[in-house]
Amino acid sequence: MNWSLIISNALYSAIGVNAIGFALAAAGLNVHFGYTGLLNFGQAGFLLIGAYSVAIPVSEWGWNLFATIPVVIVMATVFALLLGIPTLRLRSDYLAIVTIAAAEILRLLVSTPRWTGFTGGTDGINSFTKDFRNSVPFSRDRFFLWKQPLTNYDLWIIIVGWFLVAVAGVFVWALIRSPWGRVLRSIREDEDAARSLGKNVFSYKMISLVIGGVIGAFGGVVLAIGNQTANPITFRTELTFFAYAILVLGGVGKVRGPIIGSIIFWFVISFTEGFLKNATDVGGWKLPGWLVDENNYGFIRFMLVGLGLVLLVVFRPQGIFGNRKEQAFDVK
Amino acid sequence: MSSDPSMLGDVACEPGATKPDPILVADSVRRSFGGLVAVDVDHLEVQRNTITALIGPNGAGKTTFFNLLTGFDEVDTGTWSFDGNPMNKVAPHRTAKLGMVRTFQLTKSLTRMSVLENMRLGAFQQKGERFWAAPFPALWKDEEAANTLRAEALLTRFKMDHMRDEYAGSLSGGQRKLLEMARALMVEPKLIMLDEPMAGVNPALKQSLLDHIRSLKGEGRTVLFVEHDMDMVHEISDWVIVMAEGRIIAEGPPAVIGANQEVIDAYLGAHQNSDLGLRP
Amino acid sequence: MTIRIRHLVAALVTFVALAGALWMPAHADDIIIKVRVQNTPEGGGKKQPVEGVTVTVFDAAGTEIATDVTDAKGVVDLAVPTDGTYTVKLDQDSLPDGIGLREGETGERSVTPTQGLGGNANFNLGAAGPEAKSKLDLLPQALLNGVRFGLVIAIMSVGLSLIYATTGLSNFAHAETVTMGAVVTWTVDDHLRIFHSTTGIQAFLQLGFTALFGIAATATFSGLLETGVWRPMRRRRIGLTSMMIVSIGIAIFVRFFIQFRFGDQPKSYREFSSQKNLSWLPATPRDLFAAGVSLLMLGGVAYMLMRTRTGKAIRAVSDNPELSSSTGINTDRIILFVWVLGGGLAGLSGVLFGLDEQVQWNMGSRLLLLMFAAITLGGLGRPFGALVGSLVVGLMVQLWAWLFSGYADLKNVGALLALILILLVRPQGILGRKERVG
Repeated sequence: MNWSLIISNALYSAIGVNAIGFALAAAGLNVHFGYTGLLNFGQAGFLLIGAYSVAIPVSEWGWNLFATIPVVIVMATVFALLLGIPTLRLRSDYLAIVTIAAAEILRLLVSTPRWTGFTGGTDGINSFTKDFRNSVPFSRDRFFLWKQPLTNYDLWIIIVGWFLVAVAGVFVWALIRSPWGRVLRSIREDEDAARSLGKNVFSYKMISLVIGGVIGAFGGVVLAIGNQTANPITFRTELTFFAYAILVLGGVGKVRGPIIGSIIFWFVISFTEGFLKNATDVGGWKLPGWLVDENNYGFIRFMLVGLGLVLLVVFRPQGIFGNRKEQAFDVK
Repeated sequence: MSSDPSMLGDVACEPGATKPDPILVADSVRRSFGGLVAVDVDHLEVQRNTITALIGPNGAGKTTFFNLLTGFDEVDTGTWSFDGNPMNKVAPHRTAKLGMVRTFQLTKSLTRMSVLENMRLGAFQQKGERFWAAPFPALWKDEEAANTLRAEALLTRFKMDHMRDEYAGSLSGGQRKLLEMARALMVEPKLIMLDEPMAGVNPALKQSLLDHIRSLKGEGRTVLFVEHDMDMVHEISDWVIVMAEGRIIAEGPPAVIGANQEVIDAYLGAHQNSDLGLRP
Repeated sequence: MTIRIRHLVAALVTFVALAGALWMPAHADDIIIKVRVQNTPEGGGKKQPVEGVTVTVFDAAGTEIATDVTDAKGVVDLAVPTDGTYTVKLDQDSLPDGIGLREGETGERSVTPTQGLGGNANFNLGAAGPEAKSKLDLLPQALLNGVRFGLVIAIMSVGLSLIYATTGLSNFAHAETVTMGAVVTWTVDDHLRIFHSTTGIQAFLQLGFTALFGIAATATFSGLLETGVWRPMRRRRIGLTSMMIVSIGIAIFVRFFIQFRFGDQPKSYREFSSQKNLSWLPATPRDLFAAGVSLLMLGGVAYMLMRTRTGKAIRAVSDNPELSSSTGINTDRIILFVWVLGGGLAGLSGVLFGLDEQVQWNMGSRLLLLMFAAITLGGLGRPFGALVGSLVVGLMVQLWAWLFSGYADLKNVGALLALILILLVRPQGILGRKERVG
């Protein structure tokens, strides 16, 4: 059992590209669900939009990667409007079903072999990161996080990514403490009360959907650039569910929630994987083969996600660090 | 006792009576659920700057009528206007903007927000509630401070100033009623519509609540309220409207209504044991 | 903590015990690629098997894996060791005189066989077959497929809808209940064989017998979740949103547990692995069997809801839980009944869907959105609406595949788009009451 490698791997995961992408996904969900009470189960769709809004213009039309940022914002906004207009006036479970369906439609559309030339089909798009690579400011090409080696490209996307997380966090914080944020929270508590006081609930919900969606889309951008691929398999419904798990873990309705949640989530995921990989490997100390072997250990960490989500919601709805009193979860 | 003969003295005591200066006028407002007609009001006027009570047995359609007037429910047919503005298809938040604010029978306090936050939310047309201004406190700090002062003054008036920082969820039922009424006043409404303001309110508080409602009239506002507590109706209302099975069956000053046989029958038919408290 | 940990533990233990069947290692058989060589005589006529043709299979690196000669039925089985992509080559020199390859035929097939399912390669020689059937000729088949698919979804969604109606919960774990039914049945079927024939009446009996295990497992699982998780959560007045997220957690756990023990490769029931269409209907006996069972079950549920005391109590609880409990209905018992019923129906539908396609870890979650689409189309919380909605969804999916045959992989998109459009114009669903939904 190589503890130092397992732990440095886990530490790297905790600050790595996945942690950043999911922190942004969960930060967007936090705006939707945590502050406005919108049940968006299609966050994966927003991330997909972000990833492909960068990948397609670069690989198809030869755009500069950084020039696609406005496309990301515009496309995520359009998607939010398309989702919101039919559903935001309806009961909240309709939004849940429509968003999950819309995200799945998007994923099927980019997976289909029909438009492989455009979307890359199930292989996705893999050659669009040249401009980002050229922007790497480090002359050294290899760094170490304890035992974990990382390239200058990895380090650069991590720095840019966490900068984006910080920007999103400050932006959300500034919005939520304002009277505007107060209206948002009042909608979460009881939208009829907000209406009776003259607040245009629909428009607030819509703006919330757009903001959370755009933040999520940037999560998709980070995942795509960091993993150097925009691939439909990344954007399955599980992504949204994991983002919810992260949000609940870190604390719903708190700016720090998605960030803490994502760091812990990815540390635990990576640590479990590293541990089980070692414990099922040939040689040395091993777990019994009838229990778990090198072919199926990979599923255990995701079983833990499911179990963890259940236990958190039931026993610690305020997140692992929150206090019971400020529990920001539905109490209706 | 508080009726003002100069305004309502000449008004006929009959359903749909015309008033000298109505703030709210409804015509042929109908709403049915399935086969059941919940509201069927031919004509109704509410006089400006009065306290008008809307009474009737359970299921008479009072709350549904409130919902229709404030845009929380849609009429099947009918028109109504508030302060000269036609109100059909006007969304609830626009109704509030025009100066017609309601409270709810089941209180809608925003449980995970503090009492003070609840109050500030009520303040009307805040710059800081606009998305573009929200991230820049310089644009809304002064306004927020002014709203806070106003909120604190109202809380003091309602004797709730000591709990300004508590979560609304920790208040008792009666306190929530008070908070909801105070919050509605933050909107500066011309017409405030209270749905059972006395339900669940501690008897010790009732008298001061009555005084508050009376003082609203003193400020030039109009009050329309649904209530089951007939002592209260009798004590503060200038005019009483009686609904039964969706229709308006009687109108008049409290003393006249208390003696109206049709009203007594409607109540007795609905629940035999209720004490009307209206009989003179 | 009022949640009953005892029950939670009981639920978990039973879950592990039920799924214990999965613990037993599956047979590590070779994977079989079935090659069939047929010839159409000049001037048309029925295809005939070609005997004595040499066929060879190569792996991706071009290494020869196996070679053999077709039998009297024109069929040869070639065994390959693992999943992967293989190339099957037909030796042209071994063809009988007078039989040659068609124009454009290379004599090669790329095959990707999988464990349990195997693979197929067909060579049709001689005169080209009749012109492809016209679209209209394929319509009855598409309609029939739609009804069949709709019926399977209906069994799943009626349970989901009843649960929603009585508890208000959108249960995301319903999909995994479906998968569990299929997987437990497959595993029991793999180990416990009473009837050995894989066709005919024996096959029905064998599968019917093993399906009982799957249904019992899902019904128990569902019931234990109610007593161990949902009921305590209701008692603690935990909101529906939290419960929905808990159901997602359960779904994730079970989904990956199934992958963990059952593996992620699709498997087929041994029974009815190959079936021919009936002469009078474009459907196989297996399809008829599945549709018949579905209809029977749906009829039973409808009768139960309309005619029995329990059914009336269920409808009362869906209308107003507080009121019905004050009139002496034991709400908790009714809800438990609904969970057990819904779980059992889900298990059954998993078996039927596994017959139709294959048993795989994601078979339920692939259908979850269609289930939600069905119950939303029919009007949330209305079991009969769910039935109608399911048929609409089933037909929509299959008609899309028929109409846009080039885009058949997008057939679910049609149903989901329709869901969104219908919500725009008729938010209460097809059968829903016209009332404010907001």
